[in-house]
Amino acid sequence: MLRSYLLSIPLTMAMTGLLSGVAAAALDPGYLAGSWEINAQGSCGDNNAEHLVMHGDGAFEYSRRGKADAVGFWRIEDDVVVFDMMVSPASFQDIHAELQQFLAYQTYSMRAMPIDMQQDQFSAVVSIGDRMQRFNLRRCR
Amino acid sequence: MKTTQHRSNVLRVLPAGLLAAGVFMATYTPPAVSSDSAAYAFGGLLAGHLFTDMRFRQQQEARERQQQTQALQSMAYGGGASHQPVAPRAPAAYSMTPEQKLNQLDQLAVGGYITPAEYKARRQAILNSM
Repeated sequence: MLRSYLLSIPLTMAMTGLLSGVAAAALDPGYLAGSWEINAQGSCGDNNAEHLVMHGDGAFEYSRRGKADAVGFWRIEDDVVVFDMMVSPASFQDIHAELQQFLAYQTYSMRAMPIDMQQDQFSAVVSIGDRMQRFNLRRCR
Repeated sequence: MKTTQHRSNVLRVLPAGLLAAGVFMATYTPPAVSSDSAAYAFGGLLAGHLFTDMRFRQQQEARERQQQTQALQSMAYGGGASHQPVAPRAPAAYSMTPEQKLNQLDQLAVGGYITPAEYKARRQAILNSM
């Protein structure tokens, strides 16, 4: 009796996980529009944290330290989100000191494939140039 | 006699040493370590690409300057070689076929960017759309 009860606990937990996974969201502009925190939890009010704001009109801004470091436009192409952005490399001199000499704005295109979309969070495999990385995004608003 | 003198010297120096160590321990603060590259995951990705791109552009500009110098020298000495400016390429319209999507998905799975469950679900979605 006790053994079957103990066995049912992980089973119930697994079922709960499966059911929460069922509440997947579809990739559409209405879903993506909003403010997202990147690789963090509870940092929505923290200006120092990384945030991605995707506006409903197709504009976006990536901000950290309370200022926008990349701005541009986003669109959905098939199952990928394309970000065309304008960036001043010098804004990232705190990460790469050598970038401080490049003040002029440059344009870049970045692609993100959303994975495991839930109501208020999703993962995305992001590629820019020959670099690729996976991020977790949580909705702030 | 000698041992007694040595012991008294140690006893004289010891409190001063302990005091100095205490002051050092009380006032010491570890040096601040910048963890921006770790803290800014997305920024780190962008900065890495920007750094690579800026270096590439610098090298490209250096090559172009060298070519221009060679062209000018060639003109000056009567070589007459013509250098046609290269027209910038227009961005190609992008639309992936299901086969390309499957290949891309395979690459993501091989690279370990998505889990087997995510791979399976996305593959099924692509196959259903065919």
